[in-house]
Amino acid sequence: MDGKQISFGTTGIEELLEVLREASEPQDIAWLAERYIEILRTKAQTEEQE
Amino acid sequence: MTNLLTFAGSPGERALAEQIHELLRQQGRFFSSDAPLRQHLSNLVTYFAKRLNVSVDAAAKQVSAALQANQAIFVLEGVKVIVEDSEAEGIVERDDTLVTTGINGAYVPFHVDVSHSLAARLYEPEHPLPIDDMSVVITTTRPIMPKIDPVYVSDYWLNGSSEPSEGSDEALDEVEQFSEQEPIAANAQLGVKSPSVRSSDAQRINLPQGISIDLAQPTDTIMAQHGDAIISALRGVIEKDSTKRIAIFGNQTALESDVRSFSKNDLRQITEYIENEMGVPVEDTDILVNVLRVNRRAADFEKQRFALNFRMLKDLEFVGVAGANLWATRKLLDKVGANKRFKAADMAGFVNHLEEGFDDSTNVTSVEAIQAKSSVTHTLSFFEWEYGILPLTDALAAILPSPVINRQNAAVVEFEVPQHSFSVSINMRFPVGNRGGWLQGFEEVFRDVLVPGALITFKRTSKPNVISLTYAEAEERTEQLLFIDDSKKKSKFAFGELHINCEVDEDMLPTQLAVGRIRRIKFFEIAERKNINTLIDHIFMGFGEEVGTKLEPVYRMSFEQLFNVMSIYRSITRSYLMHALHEAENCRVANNASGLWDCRADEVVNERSGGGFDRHDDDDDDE
Repeated sequence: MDGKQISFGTTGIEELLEVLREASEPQDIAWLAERYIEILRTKAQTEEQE
Repeated sequence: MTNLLTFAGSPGERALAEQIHELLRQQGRFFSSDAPLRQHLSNLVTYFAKRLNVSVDAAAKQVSAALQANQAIFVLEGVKVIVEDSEAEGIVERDDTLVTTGINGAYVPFHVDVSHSLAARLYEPEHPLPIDDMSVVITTTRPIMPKIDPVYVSDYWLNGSSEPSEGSDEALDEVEQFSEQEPIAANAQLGVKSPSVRSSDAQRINLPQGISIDLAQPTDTIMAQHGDAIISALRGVIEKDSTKRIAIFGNQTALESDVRSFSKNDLRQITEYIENEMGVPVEDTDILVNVLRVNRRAADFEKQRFALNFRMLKDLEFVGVAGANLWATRKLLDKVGANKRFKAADMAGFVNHLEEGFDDSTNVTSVEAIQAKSSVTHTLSFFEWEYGILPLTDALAAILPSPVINRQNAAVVEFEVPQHSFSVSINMRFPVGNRGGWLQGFEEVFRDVLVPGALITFKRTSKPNVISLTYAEAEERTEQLLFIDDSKKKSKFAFGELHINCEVDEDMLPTQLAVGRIRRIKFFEIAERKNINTLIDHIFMGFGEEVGTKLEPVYRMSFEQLFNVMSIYRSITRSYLMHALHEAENCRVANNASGLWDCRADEVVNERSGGGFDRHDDDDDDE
């Protein structure tokens, strides 16, 4: 995969798992979706700066 | 191939003309067979003066004479030529003659024959003959539209390609709007989930549905605009993940490795509790407290609850609704609303039309209006009353709970009848694919409290899995109403006294006066009622007015009467019945204003049922 591509469902999944691990409680999928959007945004900004 | 030419004139002229022609043929030996062979007369004279060893003037006379004698072969044309004059020391223009011939004799200019071309023939004839019978050209038969099954696309392809997609109208709109700023290729195939790939804009990503999201916007704004699509996409990602690292149940998610497991002994105890101790579907919290001995006040109670629900999915039947996670065993679920008089496959055949676009339950009151009121009124048909079932129409679905988990087939919903202080567990079968949904288990309630044609109201209650069923009470009266007599080996329609103490739709009330003729018609077993055309034919013959001849019998009846009788036999909607009538070759509109239909039924009925209809036997089975 091109290093400059961000793919929904592939990029940032490890970070999302870490978020769930830290939460330690079952979380609503809407909450999880918000966290995922934030992870993707961070990734996009980082790549843009590079 | 060349033709042998015949030259005219004196022998000398003929010989010279032949030499001239041969000379020109040599000049154009590499030309095409229809190309003109041209030479200036002055050149020919110069050539033959040397060859014949005569003066230029003598040669000019001989050549001119030979050409003049053979004008059929040589064409002479006066022209101006520009030559270099050594005496004048410059270029001068002088008169000359151009001699033209062809390889096979006189030159014939090439002519393209356009009198018959393909382009012209496309428009022929100019005045086509009139078409008397349009059916030769077009067909009025609607082709069956095949339902395309969704195609599963491997994650490998979803993540490996780099083409953006167009998944929906909304997605297209998004792409179009975005493309005004920066061009985006949008040429992926419709209906195929395509990869979610970042667009050329660094802050944009595409969802699998094809929706483009601008990550530069605040999270709240993004969720407000595309929350449902993002959640749906994330749910798809979680469920398709082969490593199953995220556990999901309903709308709850957790890290799979953090979700506790249950032993076989735990499962055995839970099964025994549900089947033997309770005998009804049980809520997850009851199982936790009463079987697994988890304290309700424990800090990790919700975590344990999630684990129970997630882990039991593969061993037990989830029959809950949002807010009430109910669990049952397969054996127990089969008992809820059980009815030995029909099979699930038979019932599915009666409600499939709801999923095929013939659900007209919200034509009068919209889904939004029903949801706003939290209640819906329904007219009970004879079929529904007799078998204790209700088709899951859009109107009913508007106030009933939705499935909680993917591929949930059934839910157990409690229907309470406050006017009689009792409740009943109903097996709610959700629509699956092309199969419509229905509710079963009302047999006792309907028989004990209501009559066919009753107007009943369903209303939501404060509990998510409890619906109230009420009816408007009316002054009690007694009528001879239709029922199915199962006392003998063969079931049959019969009439008996029934007390009516609720408001009814009089048209749907199956009195002896209204539908007494039904006893003339063959009693169809449940499995035989799926073929709506056979039912239509029999109902027309039993209830219709004879308007044809003995040779060509035709029966006439109103659409509303046909609908009322049809709802005795099976679950039906007006739109589906109307569709069936239009599709039936032997039925046609007799009078549109009064809703009358004609049916040429006799031959068809005898052919289909082996003559199971006797129009003139009014007294059959009365005793």
